[in-house]
Amino acid sequence: MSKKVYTFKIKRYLPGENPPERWDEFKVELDSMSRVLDGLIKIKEEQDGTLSFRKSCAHGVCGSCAMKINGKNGLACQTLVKDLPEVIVLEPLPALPVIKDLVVDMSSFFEKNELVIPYLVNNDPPPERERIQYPEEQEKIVESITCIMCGSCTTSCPVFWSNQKYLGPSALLKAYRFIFDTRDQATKERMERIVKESGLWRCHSIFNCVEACPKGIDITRHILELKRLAVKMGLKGELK
Amino acid sequence: MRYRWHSGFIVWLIHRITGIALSFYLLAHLFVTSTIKKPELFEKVMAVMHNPWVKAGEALLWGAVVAHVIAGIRITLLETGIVSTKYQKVMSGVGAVIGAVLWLWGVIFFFKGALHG
Repeated sequence: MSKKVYTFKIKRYLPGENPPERWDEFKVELDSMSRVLDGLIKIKEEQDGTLSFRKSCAHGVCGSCAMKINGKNGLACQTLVKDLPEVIVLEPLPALPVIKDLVVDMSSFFEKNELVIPYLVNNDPPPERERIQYPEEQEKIVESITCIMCGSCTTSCPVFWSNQKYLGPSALLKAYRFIFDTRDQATKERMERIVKESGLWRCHSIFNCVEACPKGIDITRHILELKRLAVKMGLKGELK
Repeated sequence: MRYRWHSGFIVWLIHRITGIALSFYLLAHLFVTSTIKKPELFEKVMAVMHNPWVKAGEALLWGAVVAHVIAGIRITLLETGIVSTKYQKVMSGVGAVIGAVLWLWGVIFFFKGALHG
């Protein structure tokens, strides 16, 4: 595999220093099949041990290593360096408070997720085996299930940049995942929660979330279906 | 904050900016037309309308109207589910082409009027 030297331009945030923000550049030799995360690990091991970033599975499943890569949110473990220019610019996810370097405080992001009741609600007595779902019913939610909650979508949304109270595409997608799950029974409660101010209607179909999603989920399509359901339920007087 | 631009983002921004600009224009337009009460004053204002700079302003205004209407149609088709979100990028491109043709047609129309009358 051919090797090449890449320049990693990283936005640092070091709380103890004055000023805390600065840009650092690191030269790293990587082969063409290396990922951005490989470069970061190499920098931390060989050049600057103080560099902070999150990572866990390194295989696009856990969603820890989401960051802004050359101006667009994505996963460091899923982005190959060969697909990027020689200068790779890395920044933390936008619009969330930075803790250190590429590590952001995701608390508010997960709080919003909790607001939409992110679990199955079914008050019927449990059957002997599992609650049955037919393949065509699963089809409706299968795309939304693949979300790994990395935060790339919500932090790429211009509405979220300007209004941090906005639920954001990730939480709305989670709401969709359970609202359109035929086994779930809390549609009304969930809908009432998401149609509130700073909820569903703040989405302006800008499609930044779709562009950013490392799992390729058409999040806007899901949000638009929620909007249409909200209109139907609203017209029937089913929503408070 | 810098973030990479996408077609959806650009169309949304154009829709917003032209919307705000057109609402101000509409106010100014209503104010002017409601204050012209005498025929002589009307003729005077109409004479100003033939000024090439005003014509250039009209071309700009027409551009804003066309862009706003097309972006509005695009978002309505997407939000109502008439057209799938799969085609949102194609719609931006097609909208830009239709918009450019309509705008050019309008500009020719306006300036023809300026030359002849």
